[in-house]
Amino acid sequence: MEEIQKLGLIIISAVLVNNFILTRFLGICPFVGISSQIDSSLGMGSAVIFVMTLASAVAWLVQTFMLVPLGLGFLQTIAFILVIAGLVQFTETVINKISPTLKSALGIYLPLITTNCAVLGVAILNINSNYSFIQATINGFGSGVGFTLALLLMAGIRERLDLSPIPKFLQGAPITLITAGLMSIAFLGFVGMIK
Amino acid sequence: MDPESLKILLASVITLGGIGFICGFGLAYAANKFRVEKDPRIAEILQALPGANCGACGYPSCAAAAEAIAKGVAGANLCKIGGAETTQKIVQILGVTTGPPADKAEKMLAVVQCGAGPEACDQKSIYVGEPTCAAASLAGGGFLMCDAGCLGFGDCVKACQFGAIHHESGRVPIILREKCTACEKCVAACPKNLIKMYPARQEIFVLCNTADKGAEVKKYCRTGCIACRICVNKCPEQAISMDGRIPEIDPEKCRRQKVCIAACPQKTIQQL
Repeated sequence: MEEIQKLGLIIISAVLVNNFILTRFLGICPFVGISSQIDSSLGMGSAVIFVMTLASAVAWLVQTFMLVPLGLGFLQTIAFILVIAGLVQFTETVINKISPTLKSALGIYLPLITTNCAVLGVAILNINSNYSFIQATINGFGSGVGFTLALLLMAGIRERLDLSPIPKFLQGAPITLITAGLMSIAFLGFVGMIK
Repeated sequence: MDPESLKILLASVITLGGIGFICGFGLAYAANKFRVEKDPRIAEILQALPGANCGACGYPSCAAAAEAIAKGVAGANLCKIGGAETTQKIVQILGVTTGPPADKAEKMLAVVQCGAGPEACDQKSIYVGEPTCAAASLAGGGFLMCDAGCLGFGDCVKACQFGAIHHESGRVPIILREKCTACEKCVAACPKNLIKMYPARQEIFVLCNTADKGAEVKKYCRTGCIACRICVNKCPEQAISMDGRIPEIDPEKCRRQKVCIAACPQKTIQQL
């Protein structure tokens, strides 16, 4: 029971309190780049959830059964990148064969976030937090959901912004960055929710 | 190097190399095992297409056009700019018989039918509006004495996606014949309908499109055709005829002896 409670806390923490984009400031590039439409941000979000969950699990296995026994902890970053990239590529190949529908939904986003800093970040943070295998996987999933949430919120706001009378000097990137900053401040309100 | 660091070094190399090897091997296996069979003709057709992704056919890219052709949604003669050569290649790939008749297949090039422009033509008014041919043409048919003359703002240059038109402001644009793909976008862009398509083998052109009488043209234009018929009479091959206002050169008969170029008193006839 206590374990399930802990997993629940991990998810809430990953989605809201330690949101990857708005609190940890990782993965800003796709956040700004792909948040102009709700459709594409949903595709991107599902790809991120998928990759983060997978990456967390595999990176944990590599760290625990390969790098730690051999005393090669300093190879963490490069080994993770290698494994995650290979794994995502493999998954894409398989999806391409098995489900063309899923393939066209995830589309170009899957290879796009293969070695994104948020994906690598979640793998390394799992190790630093001494999570177990299940906790790490759940954390990866939660972080992906948090990423998607931030992306969707942003996309919704930006679709409204497109129709709003914005002063000329604020149009485009400036208003987007200001919006992102305000959202980040709003998410600061979740700090302290979980001790 | 002490044995301890050598050991770490070896372990690192072997571990990373091993991971890389397993990943690479796994990917190679997966690529083979889960290969999606695609129509091989798509890649071949894509090779045959010009690859400019100009969108003149209505598809966003050459790849999309290739897929449509392979599926039979679009015809083998879809690509406008590739012309007969491309169509022929695609026809061979698809194994069908040629759609369009062979005589239509001749390569065409665009030619601006004015040799004067604002430089060599008198102006009836001063134009200060938006610097585009379309806008200038709307204001009383343009600011030149000649109703047919090139206004020299270069609307055709903006329309050309292949960088095939060289233009200096206030002059007649020069169409670079080696770059022109005959997409006909400039033809549509010219408000004076000055740009026409000619067979690529024709090299000598009458650079005038006026409908005015010769005496008037003589007054306001330094290079306009004055309908003197000298070229018609001088041509040793009888390749020039003059049924309308402007002489026409028959590319079949023309042997490029350039007698007409030398004889034209207005220098309206030019080799491009």
